[in-house]
Amino acid sequence: MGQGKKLATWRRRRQAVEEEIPGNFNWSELCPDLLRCVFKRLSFTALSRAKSVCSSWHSASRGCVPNRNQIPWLVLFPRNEETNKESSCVLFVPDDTERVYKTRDLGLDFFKSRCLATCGSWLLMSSPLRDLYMLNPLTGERTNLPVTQYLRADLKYERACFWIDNKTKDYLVIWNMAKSSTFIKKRDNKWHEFPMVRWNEDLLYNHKDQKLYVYNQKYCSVTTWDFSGDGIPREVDEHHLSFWFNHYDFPSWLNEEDDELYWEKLVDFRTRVAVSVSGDVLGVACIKFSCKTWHFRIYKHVNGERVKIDSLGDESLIYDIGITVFAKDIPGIKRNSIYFSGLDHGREDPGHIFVYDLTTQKMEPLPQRIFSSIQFSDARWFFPC
Amino acid sequence: MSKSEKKIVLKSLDNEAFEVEKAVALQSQTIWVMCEDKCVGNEIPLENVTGQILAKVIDYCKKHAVVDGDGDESSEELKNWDTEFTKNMDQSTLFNMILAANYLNIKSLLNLTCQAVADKTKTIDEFHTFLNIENNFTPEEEAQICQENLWAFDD
Repeated sequence: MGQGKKLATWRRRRQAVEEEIPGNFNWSELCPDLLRCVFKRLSFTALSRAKSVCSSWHSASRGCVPNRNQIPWLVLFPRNEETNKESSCVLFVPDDTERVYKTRDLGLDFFKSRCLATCGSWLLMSSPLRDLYMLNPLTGERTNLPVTQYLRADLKYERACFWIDNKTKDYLVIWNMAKSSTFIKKRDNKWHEFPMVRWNEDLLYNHKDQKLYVYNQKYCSVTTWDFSGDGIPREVDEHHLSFWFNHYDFPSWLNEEDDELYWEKLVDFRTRVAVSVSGDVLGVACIKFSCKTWHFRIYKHVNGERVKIDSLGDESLIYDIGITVFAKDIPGIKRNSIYFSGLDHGREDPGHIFVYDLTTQKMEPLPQRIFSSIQFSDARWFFPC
Repeated sequence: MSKSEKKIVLKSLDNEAFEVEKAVALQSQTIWVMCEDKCVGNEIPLENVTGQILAKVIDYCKKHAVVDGDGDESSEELKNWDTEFTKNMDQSTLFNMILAANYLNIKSLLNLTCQAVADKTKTIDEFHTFLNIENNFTPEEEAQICQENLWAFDD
């Protein structure tokens, strides 16, 4: 909004206030202690909004620690092919479905960049020159990772995951490429190779147990790497969890005819590794049919056996991050659902961005206004904190 | 204790008198202190609370005085009662209930009413319309707040 328009809005608001119905109460004048009583009950997003309601609320909100955000947000990256064009990302915050929000102009070429992973409010981005950096789209903070020539030379499809502490900015980034796997920690700020060199693995780092879970598409199994020590991470031997893909678990496989139909309709299938709130390693299998419908099945290991689980209970899965989160009675998140943004399946199709309800086994589309507000090049569910 | 000592009269700002059980009134820390100090007789003047609001506060205290003694079984019912109690309150009633709960020092009622406001307001527009608050930022201040918290603005 330009200065002129802002001034006009402000004058209009003032005028409206002067004509206001008189009353013996004024929320702006509620004493700061009582205001904070209300503020501490607001959600993470509502408190951010309350700060910008009026000046007494703004000052009362200082020192008010926001409640932990409990819902995933969708970030859409602009498709700014022309240079000098504004590069604001669009944010959809599901506890306020009436509108979309915009970040500040982040000054980046999102069209040629790729978002490799997210952690809290942070995105791990790879630039057109294949430099890696971490970006907080809400604050504009950015941390560049050191460049090495061999990273640049490795142009094959790469995978990465990372963890960053919002306060101390401690981080760990793990990057897997065609010929090598490397990691970097803030402490020594240097890339180290480690011997996990298979191609096209799905990676997930769980900071709670400081383990890296690697799903191998070829062997359909998860190996575990321990990052708790100071040296080169070790592979944890006892953890080879098999998550073989079972097409029989999906619909339209009831008799001979359906069998044919299934293969006719099947466009894509894959498995991704995830970790539940309680630390269980999950295999998330998904299929895509040519009619643009998706189906998901979730597996875990119980006493060494791979079992299909039909419900996530009061949790929901953020597929893009590979974690489940608690989702009971929280406005803006639906329990027993999967938040999906078409990761690895085409970056610009709104039809790939939805919430999959495991109870009804149906995809629920998002409000159309999100997609009409921006020409986007990619999208991600992330979990600001 | 004689019968008259079990009852207490609360008098509102607009001189409305409410006779209530002492056990009900004593949920208010403010009234409890007044009674302890014996600085008042059987009639307690509450200068900051109107009769309309006091009636609601007493409703709340009556419900909670009765059910609190009944054990866990009723806690779900009490929760539902609380939800119903604040559900249809307009913002002026909520505002005055917060002030009354604060003045009378009834912690659970203060929590309940603050939670009700928090639940009813999520967007900036809701803050402005439901709570009828003016946006009194100057454009300069607003620009600065935008800088701190830009994503929260949609225009």
